Amino acid sequence: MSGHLSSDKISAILIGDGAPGELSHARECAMCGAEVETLSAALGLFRESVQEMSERRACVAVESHRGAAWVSSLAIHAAAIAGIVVIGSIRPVMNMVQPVATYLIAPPLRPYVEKLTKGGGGGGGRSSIDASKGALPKTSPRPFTPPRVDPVESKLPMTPTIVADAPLPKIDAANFGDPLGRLGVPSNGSGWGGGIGIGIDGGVGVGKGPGAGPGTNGGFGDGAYRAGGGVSSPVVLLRVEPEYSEEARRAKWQGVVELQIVVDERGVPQQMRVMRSLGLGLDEKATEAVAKWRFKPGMKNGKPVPVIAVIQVTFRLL
Amino acid sequence: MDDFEALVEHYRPRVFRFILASLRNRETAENLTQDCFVRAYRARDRFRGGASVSTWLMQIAANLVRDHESSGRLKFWRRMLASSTDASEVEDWIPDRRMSPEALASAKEQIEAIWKAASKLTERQRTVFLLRFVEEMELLEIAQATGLSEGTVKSHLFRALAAVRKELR
Repeated sequence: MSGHLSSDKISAILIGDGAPGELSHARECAMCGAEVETLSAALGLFRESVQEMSERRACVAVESHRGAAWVSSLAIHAAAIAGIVVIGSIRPVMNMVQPVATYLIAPPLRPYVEKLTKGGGGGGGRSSIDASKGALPKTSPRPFTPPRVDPVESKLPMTPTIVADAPLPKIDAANFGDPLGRLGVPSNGSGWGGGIGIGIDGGVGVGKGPGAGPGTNGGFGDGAYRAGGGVSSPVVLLRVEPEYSEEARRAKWQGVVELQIVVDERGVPQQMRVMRSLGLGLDEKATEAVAKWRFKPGMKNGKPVPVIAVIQVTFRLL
Repeated sequence: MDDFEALVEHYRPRVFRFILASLRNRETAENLTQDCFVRAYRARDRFRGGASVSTWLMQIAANLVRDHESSGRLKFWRRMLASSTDASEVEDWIPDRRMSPEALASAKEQIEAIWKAASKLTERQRTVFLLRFVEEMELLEIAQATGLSEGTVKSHLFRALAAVRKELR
């Protein structure tokens, strides 16, 4: 055999498929033997390296993952924080969040209402005879003693007064009495609570309170008129439909709420009182809605006057 | 075939080593090793004893590697990891650490060269190459495991060795 082995022959020997002649040449020829030796040594190293690599899998796997985990953890956290910041700085998101942050509820502005001074008063001594005619007592800011037709003897007399700041009708009479009463037997009238007349609570007249006249709560005259007899009724200008309350909607509750209001000279409802209640929050809803109503005030002698009105608010589910 | 657990115990390192060397990705290798034994378990009734158990398992493993390679799944990641993991860690896999620094460097160089050569081979060539020089299987066994003829196996091996020789020079 002449010359050295070709690369293929050497490969064949390495593969284990060498012909006997080639094998013996490789053993004898230093150069070819060295080449085979070098290659098989390298392949042996490779084999051992792979073996090593596969056997030491656990610890290295953990180590290599730990490095990656640290980096990816940092990256995820950074991304999450950046995401929150970015989302928070987007205009639509800010717009959505802002109204919640600055939610101001403007209180319903209602015109300032002076206390109605046009009150009235009434009283009486539970007598079977109507109150007799007489002079009104003097006025004072606070009543201490209700007026009586027949003054009681007392060691420390207190001048009877009524509460009124309006000009009172003057009656020239020695006794106290109802200016609108009839002449006759002196009587405190059929009312009760002291005072004179058929009303209650220590005033004079048919009303209620310490004043005089048919109104309530002191003063002279009538607090609010009732429509009719020269007094026109108020006319609704602005109507606000009431909302249903959630409970009532759920309960399928319907009916009518009746409110009594006083429409003042400006056409604004005052002194609202629920006359017929429905409950389940509907009374409140009705009051709320009617408070927003506006009226053309009732007129008396061409002048706007407070007039009592009854409003029925109907709640009906469609 | 009766004691499948013992079989897994015995052949697992070998199967894992082959798949790891083929794919150079631990996680995938772990998964495919698992798959390999699952498939073997399901097909255990069809094992006729025509080849040895190890050849049969290697056949399944080689098929899995081929499927994985051709599916192209995770190729991007593997390429990325392969460059970082193995190139830098080849030193760790050098078996004898009592070598002189020079010998160590030379060994490292040789191993890297063979890896490089293997990475340039086709999947079939690499499989055949690894089965022969890492698993030290006979040509006939390789032919059974890969389903190639013995001649084809040989020619694959020639090519692989030519590539190795080229890289080693």
